Amino acid sequence: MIVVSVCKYKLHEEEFVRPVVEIVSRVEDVEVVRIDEELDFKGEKVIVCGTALKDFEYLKKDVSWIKKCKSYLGICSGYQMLAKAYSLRLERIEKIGVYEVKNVRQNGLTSKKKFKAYFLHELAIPEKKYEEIEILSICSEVAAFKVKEKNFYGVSFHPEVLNPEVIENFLAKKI
Amino acid sequence: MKVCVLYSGGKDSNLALVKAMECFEVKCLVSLKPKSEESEIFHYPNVELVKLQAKALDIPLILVNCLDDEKESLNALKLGLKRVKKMGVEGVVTGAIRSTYQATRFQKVCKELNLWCFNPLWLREETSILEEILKLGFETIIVRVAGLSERFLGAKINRKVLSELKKMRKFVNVAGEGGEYETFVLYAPHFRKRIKIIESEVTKKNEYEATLIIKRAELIRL
Repeated sequence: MIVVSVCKYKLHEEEFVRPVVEIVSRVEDVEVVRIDEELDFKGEKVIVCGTALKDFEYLKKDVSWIKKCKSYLGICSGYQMLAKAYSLRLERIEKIGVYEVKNVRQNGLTSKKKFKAYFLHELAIPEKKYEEIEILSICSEVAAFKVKEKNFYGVSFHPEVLNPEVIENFLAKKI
Repeated sequence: MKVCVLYSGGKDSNLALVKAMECFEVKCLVSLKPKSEESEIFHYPNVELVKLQAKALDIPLILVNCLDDEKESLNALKLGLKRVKKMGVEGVVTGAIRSTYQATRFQKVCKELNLWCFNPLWLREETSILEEILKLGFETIIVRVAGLSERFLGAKINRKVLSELKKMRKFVNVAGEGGEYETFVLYAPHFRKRIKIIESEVTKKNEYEATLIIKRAELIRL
């Protein structure tokens, strides 16, 4: 499993990358790669972690490599990068703290109909109909989505804080 | 980047300080002095002694008085951070571990003041924090217990205490995240002087809560 850090500052990796790596490494080997390295994950399983509220460097990076992955889970910044890869418009939606999320479509990330999740972002995709994605969960924004016909998922919240089963289910190929 | 560290004088904020010093220039420490131990957000015991710790660390300290309720505590924090921004500080480092309540409030304050927010201990497994401070050579004592036996009051956190805390992990959070105990760091490798307690006394609030009040302490050259 490849875990990608998009953090501008190394110290933020302790907060946004290490907790995800700890969950993944209970199940399988992890390789951590920084966004500024050459990214070519053809056929790989990839998780892209979040970063700090003030950090937007990752949105300037190339995202064409995402479509070559075998499976992809984007957390917060990773969700935004997946949205960018599929030309979905991100809007300024600020969310800091714990909010209730509602599942609107049965999916393998979590079986709960409603759950509390921790958010830390300023950008998300608004709730409306999209051609290329299926909306899985909402929270006055698209909280989780799947790219149709692909194993590509984006969650706007941080599952490593209150919902580790989202990462575990992604790893367990329940999706 | 120049940063400040939200500093209570306990093990977590000192470990966060170590992490901050490895990456950035720590311009100052910011401590809030709640009126009483009822404070909803900030650490109370011996908060006056952070002045001595700041001297031991040789890092300037911004100490802000605050009332106990959330709104007043956050207003005081904003006041303190506005002052440090004038010193060129661009980021705030905290020792938050697992409380989404605390983290949410720190993130919102930083956002409002356009400051970077760093939480290097976030979601750390509790035992690993105690293991790390022991490995680094922190000399830490327990200064308040709430739910933990009073016999731990004043005890140095060492392998034996860690092993006892681990045995009680079904009932208490090993790192004291549930407020079971609070700590004070007398010495760590980033200190330039060591703190020696000269006089202390125990005050008991009730059967389950007690505080070690450090009445006199001094700095010792290394």
